[in-house]
Amino acid sequence: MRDFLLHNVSPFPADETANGHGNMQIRALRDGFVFHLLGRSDTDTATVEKTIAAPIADLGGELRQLAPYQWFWVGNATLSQERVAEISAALPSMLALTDQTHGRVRLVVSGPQVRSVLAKGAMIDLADDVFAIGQSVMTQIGHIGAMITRTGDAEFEIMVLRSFAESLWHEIHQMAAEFN
Amino acid sequence: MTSFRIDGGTSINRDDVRQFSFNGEKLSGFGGDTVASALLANGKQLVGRSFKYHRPRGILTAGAAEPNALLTIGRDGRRDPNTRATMAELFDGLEARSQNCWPNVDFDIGAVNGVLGPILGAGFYYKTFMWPAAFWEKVYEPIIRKAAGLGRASYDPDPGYYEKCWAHCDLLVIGAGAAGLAAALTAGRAGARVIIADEGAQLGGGMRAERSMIDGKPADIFLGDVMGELISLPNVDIKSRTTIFANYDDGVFGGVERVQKHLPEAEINPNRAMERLWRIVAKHTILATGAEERPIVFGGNDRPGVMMAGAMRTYLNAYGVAPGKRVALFANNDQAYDTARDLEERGIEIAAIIDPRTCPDVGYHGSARHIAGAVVRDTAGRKGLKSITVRHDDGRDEVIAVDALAISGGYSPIVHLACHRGARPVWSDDHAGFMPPMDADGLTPVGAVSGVRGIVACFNAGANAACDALVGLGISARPALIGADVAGDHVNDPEAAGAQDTLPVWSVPSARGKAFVDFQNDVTASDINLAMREGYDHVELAKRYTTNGMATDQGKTSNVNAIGILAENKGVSPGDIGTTTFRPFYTPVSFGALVGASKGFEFQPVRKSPLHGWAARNGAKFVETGLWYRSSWFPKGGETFWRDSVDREVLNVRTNVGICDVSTLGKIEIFGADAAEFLNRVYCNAFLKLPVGKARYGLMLREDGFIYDDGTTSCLAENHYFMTTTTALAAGVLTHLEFCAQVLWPELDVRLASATDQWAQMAVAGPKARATLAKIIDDDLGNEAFPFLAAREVSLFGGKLRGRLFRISFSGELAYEIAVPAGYGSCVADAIMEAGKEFDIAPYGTEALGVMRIEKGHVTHAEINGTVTPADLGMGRMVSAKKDDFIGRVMNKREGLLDAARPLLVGIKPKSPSDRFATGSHILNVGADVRLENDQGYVTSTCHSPNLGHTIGLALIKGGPERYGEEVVIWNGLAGTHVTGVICNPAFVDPENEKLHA
Repeated sequence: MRDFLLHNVSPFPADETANGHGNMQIRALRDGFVFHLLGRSDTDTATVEKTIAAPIADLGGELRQLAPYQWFWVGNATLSQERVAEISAALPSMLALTDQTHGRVRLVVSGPQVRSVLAKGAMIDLADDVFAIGQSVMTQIGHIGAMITRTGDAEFEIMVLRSFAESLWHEIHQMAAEFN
Repeated sequence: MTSFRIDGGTSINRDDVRQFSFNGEKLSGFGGDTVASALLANGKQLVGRSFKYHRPRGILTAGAAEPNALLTIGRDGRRDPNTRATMAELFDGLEARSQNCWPNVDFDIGAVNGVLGPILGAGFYYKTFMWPAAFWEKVYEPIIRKAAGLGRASYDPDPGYYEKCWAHCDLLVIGAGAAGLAAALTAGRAGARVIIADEGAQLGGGMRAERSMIDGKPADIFLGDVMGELISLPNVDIKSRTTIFANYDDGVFGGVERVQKHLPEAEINPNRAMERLWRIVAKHTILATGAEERPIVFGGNDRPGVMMAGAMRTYLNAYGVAPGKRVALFANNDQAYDTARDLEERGIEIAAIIDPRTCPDVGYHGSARHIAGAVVRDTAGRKGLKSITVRHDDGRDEVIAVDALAISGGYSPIVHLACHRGARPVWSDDHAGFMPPMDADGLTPVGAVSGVRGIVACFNAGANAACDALVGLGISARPALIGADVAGDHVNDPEAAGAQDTLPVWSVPSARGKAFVDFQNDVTASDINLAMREGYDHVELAKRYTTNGMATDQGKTSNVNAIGILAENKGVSPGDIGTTTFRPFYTPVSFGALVGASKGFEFQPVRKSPLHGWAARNGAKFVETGLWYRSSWFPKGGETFWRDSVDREVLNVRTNVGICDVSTLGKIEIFGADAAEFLNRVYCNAFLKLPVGKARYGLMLREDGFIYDDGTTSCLAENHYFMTTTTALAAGVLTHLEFCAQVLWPELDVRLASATDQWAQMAVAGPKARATLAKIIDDDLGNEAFPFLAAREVSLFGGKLRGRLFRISFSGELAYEIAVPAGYGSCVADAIMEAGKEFDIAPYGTEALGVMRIEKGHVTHAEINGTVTPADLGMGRMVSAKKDDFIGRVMNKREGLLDAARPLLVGIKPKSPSDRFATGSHILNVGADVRLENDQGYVTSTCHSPNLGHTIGLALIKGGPERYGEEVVIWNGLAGTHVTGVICNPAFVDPENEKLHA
């Protein structure tokens, strides 16, 4: 079985260009990594940034706080399990890392009406001057818990538990349908 | 064009002719018409029948408060009952029908109730249908419900899409009349984020009926200019057709936007919502909802042709509809005279102006006959108004022939949204109305809702209020529309200054016949008086006794008059009576909007395992467990009955090997220097010394000593543990652990992460499990290297992938659970199937899983049902006696939980293998009567055991294991069956655990 072919199957439906013709684009991110960092109750963001300064310089990505003393380190590099183990092992005991690359999956919604689309599901104010590029928030889209991150002028990334990916994909398409 | 449609009409477009039907009759109107204005233009004064007496009713208002003209609009799934004709926009092909009449609105059998009027007064039903009591539900209520009632809901599903949205702003302006527009323009020019919402299709509110010149332009042209500027401002969001129906806490308002309800079927975009439910979060709110004109309570005031003066003016000016050919006005205030002035200008004959005030000086210089100090006491006409009877101040009656009567009893500020959070409105004698509680909690009432009258005054009030509100938000603004020059604004008319203001006339004392207070519920002045005489004189009691102010209009035109009548009769101020409680919703909101997109397939999200696609490819039948879809069995080779598949799957696992998706079980990563101590405290059994590379079964208790959840926890490394929970309690257990970590023991260094979705996890079970897995796992799986309860990371496919392997077993077989990153799950499952092919591997589902755990005597939440302790399940020895403390320690030792008579876990089987029994059956001693005191316990789980060939079960029975071998009766009260059973060891298969350690 050593020659067995392994591939990483995305939880998002394959048909990702179906709605790419209109004003709104919805795109699944199939690469990259999501690390869940867990600090002690005296850990602040600055400390975490300092702690992972070297690997983040190497791998890229950004920190998104999801709860007190908890962050996602999200990046677009593709990493081997060995590399993840190395990064994890190198961290001091005040910071634990658990790989959630497969557990939290991401899609990107963009287009001029993106805020109107997301307003159908999220209670967060995503206005240009309120929710800056790079800002993240843990919230809900409809009944699905999600982290929303602004990644561009009219572009937002949505991270969701893998098991909800298909439902979210369907819902976002439904929410965007009137603009396409 | 009909004789009622005259020139003018600022809201309609005469080039856009629209056909519609009313009770099957083909009629036409114009774009911009409401159904009400189109009906009036077609001379349709009679549009419906009243609720109780089935009296002919016409159109009373031109807006949201309409109590009479409730129609059913549309057909099939798009049928909307109880639609106010005054709010429904006319579209081509619209079908409208009258309600509450049979066989038709012109000839309604139910009108016989009108004759019975004298005995159908307030409290009639309460008094009449009291006995026999058993008749109420079966006889009286169905008849009453059939006779009374409004429209009927459609049984067809609504094909429309609905949705719910959020919006955020600095300033929410509710109402787009003069005050609201000035506020929105002020804030919009200052750059604030503004939402201006109005229930009308077109903004303007009362200004749309205005014929004054503003800054030298006709009012509608001026309005158009203001609208143009608002539309040009990107920071202003104009929401027309949007009713703000509720004021919730923290500046959150509920609104409903009728997005496509005004469109013909062919123009409806299926991807756009029919209606949107808005939750608007506002930093500050300007309440510019205006005031509702009050009717006057006099005899026959409900006859079609009687209309609010302001509504008549709206139909005249905005829709070009003449109310009749010969009109009278009955009003107690100055503002109503605008209607007379406009009617006269349009050449409509005014028969008389009747004003109960003795010396009204209103700056009215028209030619109509003016009768001061008089009232209308009665009206006549069968289905439409023919004449009115005027009682002069000298007591003389005069009958005047008219076909329309405009009435105005003063103005009630629309205070609802200011009162939804509990504040009470305040009575003002000056304004003869209940005023909103001023400037409460980020809400500023302006314009007519705060008693301001006239366009200029409303502009000023709105603009200034916006400036003040913005100062509070750190935005500086200059008032817009201040100092507008308005000709014909009677409040600014010097001649009008000092005129006697509104003289409240709560009811006309000389009224003859039925004088209606509440048109929708057929409540008359005498009903209110009766309620008082019978002791229901508190406003809340009077409402419920008479039904005044109930149903779809919630008393918008009736409440204040009812309060006035109560006050007058008690000799107190209306302020002393007070109002009933204001609650959402301001006007009815469709269930479609409240449900939004969450219906049908979208009712709730679906959670899918990373192995869902693999299971589907292998023919799985799925079952919903919470949000999850789990594979329950895998039919093969012509199997059509589920148990054929399940029996085969079970036997295959017991003989060969099977694979099962267990990804949905909750998984929690636990880190921290104190993780072991933490686990030791949340589990009742010992965890402090769990070595690295080992898993342990754990029981979590609740504080009350009962079992909360069970599962295994493995130590993967020093200070790193991995917990599994049952599928249903995954979120609950994590919440519980977070509570323990954050609240109970914040001093412990423990960190918790949900990892359920990260892993695809498969149980591989059966005598050939090791041989199968050995083909893909690089590590040694022998008993020495990987004994029962071993747990550690392993390498797969020659180092291509790393996963976690646990030697644990729910089935009782030699079994492993292998977890790999979710994305690789389906490939790994395929590989296991390939590896196990030579051993006849087959997938098995949750049904087979359930059978095998019952055969093995393993418990689930069927047994852990919130009433059992570890001892009840035979696990009493797991509860540590050595640990200092753990959750549930103290309460688990309660006397009641140590009672020897508690039911204990046993197995149960039928004496005769052909007998079956069901979960939930109760256990009785042989020969005992079916009585509660004879109850010995109950069956918690059952299945057909393919290994034993008969039904088996787990049960909680008094005496428990001491009774192994005893015959009992298994009683099923629902099916009415008694089966003789035998109590036995719950481990039906491999009680010595030889297979586990194979």
